[in-house]
Amino acid sequence: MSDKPRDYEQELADIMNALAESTLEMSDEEIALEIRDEGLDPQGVAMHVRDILKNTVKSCQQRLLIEAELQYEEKINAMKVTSYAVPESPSAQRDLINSILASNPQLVRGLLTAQSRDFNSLPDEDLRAFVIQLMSLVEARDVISEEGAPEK
Amino acid sequence: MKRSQKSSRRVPDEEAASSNEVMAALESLSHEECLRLERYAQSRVGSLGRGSMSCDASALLSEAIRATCEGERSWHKTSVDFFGHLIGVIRSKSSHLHKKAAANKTYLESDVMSEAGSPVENSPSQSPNQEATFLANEAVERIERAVGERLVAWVIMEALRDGMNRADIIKEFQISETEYDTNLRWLRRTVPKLREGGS
Repeated sequence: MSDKPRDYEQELADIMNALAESTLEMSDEEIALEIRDEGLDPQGVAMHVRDILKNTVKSCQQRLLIEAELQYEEKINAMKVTSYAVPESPSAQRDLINSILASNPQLVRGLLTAQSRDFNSLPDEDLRAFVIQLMSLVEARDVISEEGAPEK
Repeated sequence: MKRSQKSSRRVPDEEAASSNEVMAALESLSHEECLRLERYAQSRVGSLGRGSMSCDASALLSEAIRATCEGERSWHKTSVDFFGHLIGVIRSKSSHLHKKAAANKTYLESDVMSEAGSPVENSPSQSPNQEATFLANEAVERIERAVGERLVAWVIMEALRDGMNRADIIKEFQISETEYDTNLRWLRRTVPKLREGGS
């Protein structure tokens, strides 16, 4: 016989956990019966569970969306705050875009969306914003390189 | 999209299910699976007793799905089905709560020790740790006394504690399925009440 004192807290936890795990081996009928024994309606309980799970997913999705919107707004505001020297005429703006892309080919490969790559079709009124976007990307890339992040 | 700062357990981002995939999997959960999830969450919360810290089955279910959606416990959809994943998260979350409750109980142990290391005299009450041990002692004795009066229930409880499954218990101890189910039903209904001081 062991002289080791009994660990009642652990024993109690083991008993309760063993009973909890037994849930996974019960038949569907036993589960429904147990719920009815507690005076509950299995149909209502199942709906309640589904509602809890769905509502949590929805609130997570909304929270992630709000976070993404905030991050986007922060980036846009940062871009607005930074002042870039952008030429006035559309032709000069297109030349500048060509020049930036020629000296930063990785932007075309990796960072720009397919839509943006076809910048020649961009209307004149969108050129200024696109130039600012490109300049921000180049600046961000330079910062990352200076900080020692791996550059692909 | 920035995921949770906590590291996702062993699931590469590209293999983790998105929240839309989680929602689709949720839609396909059967009525029976929903009931089993509720019973399991209920039992796991019940096993925490006072350590549940006001967490109920609904909160545990909600926490499991939140951890899944936010990447804290991503669902590795190619290696486990959604129901199995949720069961795993509920088990892990409730174990975490149990450990947290135990830690909260022990941190005050030093409060009842004098500088010389002896228990402070005339302590007005037991420390939280001593009280928990005392309550657990009483609960275990109540359970052993009541379950001990039903041989089959006792055998089932001990076998479950040893990690045996239903089929093995039925085979090993030569009891019928009906006997097993009836006694397990009694155990599941009675033991939580005994734990809380009922009879």
